[in-house]
Amino acid sequence: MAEAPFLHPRAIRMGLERVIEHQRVNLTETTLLSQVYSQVLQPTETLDTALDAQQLADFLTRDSKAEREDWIQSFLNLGL
Amino acid sequence: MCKSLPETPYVTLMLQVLAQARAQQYTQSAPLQIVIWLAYRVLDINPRNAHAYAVLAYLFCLLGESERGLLILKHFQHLHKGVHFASDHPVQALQTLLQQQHTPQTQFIMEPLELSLPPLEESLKHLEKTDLKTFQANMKRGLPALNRLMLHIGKLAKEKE
Repeated sequence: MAEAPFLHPRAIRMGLERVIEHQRVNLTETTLLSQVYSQVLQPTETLDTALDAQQLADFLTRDSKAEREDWIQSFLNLGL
Repeated sequence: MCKSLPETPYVTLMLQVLAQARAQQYTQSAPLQIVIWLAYRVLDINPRNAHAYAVLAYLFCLLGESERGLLILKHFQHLHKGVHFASDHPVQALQTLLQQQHTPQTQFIMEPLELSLPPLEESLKHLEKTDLKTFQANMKRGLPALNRLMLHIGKLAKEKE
């Protein structure tokens, strides 16, 4: 069975990113989703310092897996 | 969460960046884009990581695509056929909450996810062929209804307490 193009994992990921970027974004967290977040996804630690606009932009301008992995590794080495 | 797993630093960072996005009330796209990339990176390292599945499903729910969120959770369970998950397992807990009053439609047929990412160039060509207008319409379609549903379920949960 041919997979619908928008179900391709890479397409889903990039589509999700594009939707979120396009909407620039104003998502609504409902009572239930808030509950899910606090009970299921709550990180045990938060970032010491929030990612700033420059760091975020730097990540997003890297358009290959290897380049983004470099960014992650640099960040992990510095921050964790 | 087992600290020795190779994807653990990525999972931790994914949740931390999600926390930042949440603190900004999901109004900034960049942290959410990084969360998505990290979720797929985690699945690239360990295709069975529960937190990556839960985060992706959660993001779809935020976008009003709870059906797709449920499919992601079902795929996780398909990978673990015969395994019983405790009620507080991330995937199980989210699925239980979503299924309380929601029956997913069947028009989306999910093949097992191909989690080994293809080359970027190939993916970009693939994405160019994808009807993003429809994709975006699908993303926006259910948001108001889902919000109402979530608020309703939230009220029921409070009444039970």
